[in-house]
Amino acid sequence: MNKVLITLLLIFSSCDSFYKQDERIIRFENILKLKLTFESNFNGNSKFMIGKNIERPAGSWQRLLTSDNFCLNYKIPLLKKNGVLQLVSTSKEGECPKLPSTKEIISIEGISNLKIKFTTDHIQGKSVRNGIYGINLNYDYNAKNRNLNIVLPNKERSKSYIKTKLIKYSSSGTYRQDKGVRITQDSMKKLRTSLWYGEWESKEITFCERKNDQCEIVGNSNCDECLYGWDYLVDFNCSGGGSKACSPVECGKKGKPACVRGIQWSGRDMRELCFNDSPAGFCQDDLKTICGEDGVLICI
Amino acid sequence: MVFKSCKKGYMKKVKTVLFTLLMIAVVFGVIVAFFRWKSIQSIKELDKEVQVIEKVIAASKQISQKWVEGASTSEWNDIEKYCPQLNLKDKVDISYSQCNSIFLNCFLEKNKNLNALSTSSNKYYSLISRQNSLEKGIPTFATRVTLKYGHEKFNIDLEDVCRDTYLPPKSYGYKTEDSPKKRFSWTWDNFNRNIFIDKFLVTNREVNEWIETLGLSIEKRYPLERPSVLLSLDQMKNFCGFKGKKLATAQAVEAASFYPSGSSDKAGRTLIRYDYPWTRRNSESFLYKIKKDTELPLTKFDCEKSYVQNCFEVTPFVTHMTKSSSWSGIFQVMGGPFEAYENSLESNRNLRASSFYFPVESDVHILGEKLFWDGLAHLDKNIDWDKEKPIGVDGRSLEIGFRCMRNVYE
Repeated sequence: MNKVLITLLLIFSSCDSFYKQDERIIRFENILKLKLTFESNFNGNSKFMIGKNIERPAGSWQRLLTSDNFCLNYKIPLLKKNGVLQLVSTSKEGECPKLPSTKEIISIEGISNLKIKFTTDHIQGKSVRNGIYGINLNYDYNAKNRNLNIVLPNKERSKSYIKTKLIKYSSSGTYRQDKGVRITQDSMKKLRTSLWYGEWESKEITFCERKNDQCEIVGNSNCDECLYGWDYLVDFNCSGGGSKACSPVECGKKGKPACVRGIQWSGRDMRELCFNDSPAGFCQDDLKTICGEDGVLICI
Repeated sequence: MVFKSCKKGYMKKVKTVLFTLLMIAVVFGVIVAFFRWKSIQSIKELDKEVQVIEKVIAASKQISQKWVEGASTSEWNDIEKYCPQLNLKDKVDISYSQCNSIFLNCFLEKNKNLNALSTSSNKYYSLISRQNSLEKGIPTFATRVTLKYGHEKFNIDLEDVCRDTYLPPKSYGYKTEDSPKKRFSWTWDNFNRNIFIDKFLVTNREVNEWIETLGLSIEKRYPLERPSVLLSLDQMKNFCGFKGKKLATAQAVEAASFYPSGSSDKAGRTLIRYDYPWTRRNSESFLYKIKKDTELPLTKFDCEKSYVQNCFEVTPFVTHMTKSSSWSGIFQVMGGPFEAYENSLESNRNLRASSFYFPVESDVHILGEKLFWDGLAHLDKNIDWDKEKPIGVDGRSLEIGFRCMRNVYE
């Protein structure tokens, strides 16, 4: 008798059959809001995050979105079988589990005609009336259409948004929903596993972004994680500057990288700037510029 | 008789079975009812948690708005009452209250409904820095306000978004020692680079925050609102590094100060140099006019633009003054305390000469005039005065301010 009771209790507590259908979807939506609102580093699947009905490949599991701690998956419905939206946690390394995943935080069955997209409150620098900065999900559940908006105050703004905002008199600050504002849940605080990049007294250049002659970023770009900020180096004339190093660079001093002078002031336009006596950099007093072993202009 | 007793026994069994079934049904019903009740409670709890999140976002909007906007005119007019912690000693411009953690503290203290948690007595914020924290995702330096709702705490990190200004991409000139008249012989450009320069000289308040955060053995200076003018050159560089910036270069500050000529948007053109930050015509500048005619009076309005030595007799020095902006939006580019630069091009010219140590008619009161400071101490012997050493600087501790600059990703 006891065994039967325990089994019953276990079954009851593990299933969500005590929620009415409407409650199930509200619960799912609320958990989604709670988990995703203060997340950052969003990465949307560009195939699906376009606000169009997700229909193919039918019956397959797809990853729609990842953030620091969570992944949002979707099982695309077959013609008669409804889809499943599923929220799972990332691993300690910040990676999403392989699909299909069984270790879920919550999922909901019966979703169809799902549309998902990032939404913005600004378009081309101008504010959108009633615009919401976050994610919008639109789907059918239980023969009703539902619309879910989740505000994302920590999601960083796109490069195009920042570009339109970089004008005379504008100040610096990380562009999120509100500039320079970040909201975190104290209980979700995480520590870095490595130190911030850069040392105050370093003999070598601490590169935080390398560019090649095609102006492509080679390897990681992590200048945002420098302890003392970062500085431009002289190697290639690219949009957004050439390679970069964590500060202090002490540019212009003997044996240190040359200070950036730009190239357009000279009336010339060239891609490669690292050569002896390059006009794109300058050094202290009587020092000269040469192209160093690292491929950046240095002072000697 | 036997049949009767059999019937009685059978009825008893039926009753027992029925009773057991009833009991099972009741227990089952209670369990179902319990779990249903638990589900409803869970929905209500979730609803509450979502409401908390909405409240946090609304509160953060209110706090960040006050952080950026600073005091209203009415609050500023009565600032000693509104925020005695600012402990203002000087006449200060209202812009000082923007992105000012002490002013924000007064706001939080007065708005208890925002649920800001006090870290110590009457202090509703803390300072976070990468120098002493490995917390993921934090900015180089920020003011943190913690809101408490129930058992959950939420941190709102506020970066200083009021202090610097963007240097638009252009060709710029730098006035070298052997610069010819009216034009620049040394030019550079910042196309493809995003440079932000501090609008104001760094204040004692900010330097004291640095000292406090890192527990440095540097003497704190007051009044808080005044520019920090007694740090060594290395300490200035350290401070800027702490903020994820670097000491502003002479080239960048001059670029943000010299009125740009029309040709500066295009590549490879000759750049004309104008001596004053506010006008392309020298004859429109009071400094030029007084130099030509020493009989002309110096007005309060003039001193708001450039606080030169004679201004001490006209009006008190106002810190954080915003009455005199350069074309790019930086302030305090002439007059006031000296300003130290990083100068990798001409290492022996790292100090803005125009300051309140020189009289109004002095030749140093034009843009680009620089001296050399050894960066070690603040005595007259630490400065190479070049042609003209002003009267009254011997043996005095001279005030040398500084500002920082930073690079930003697009």
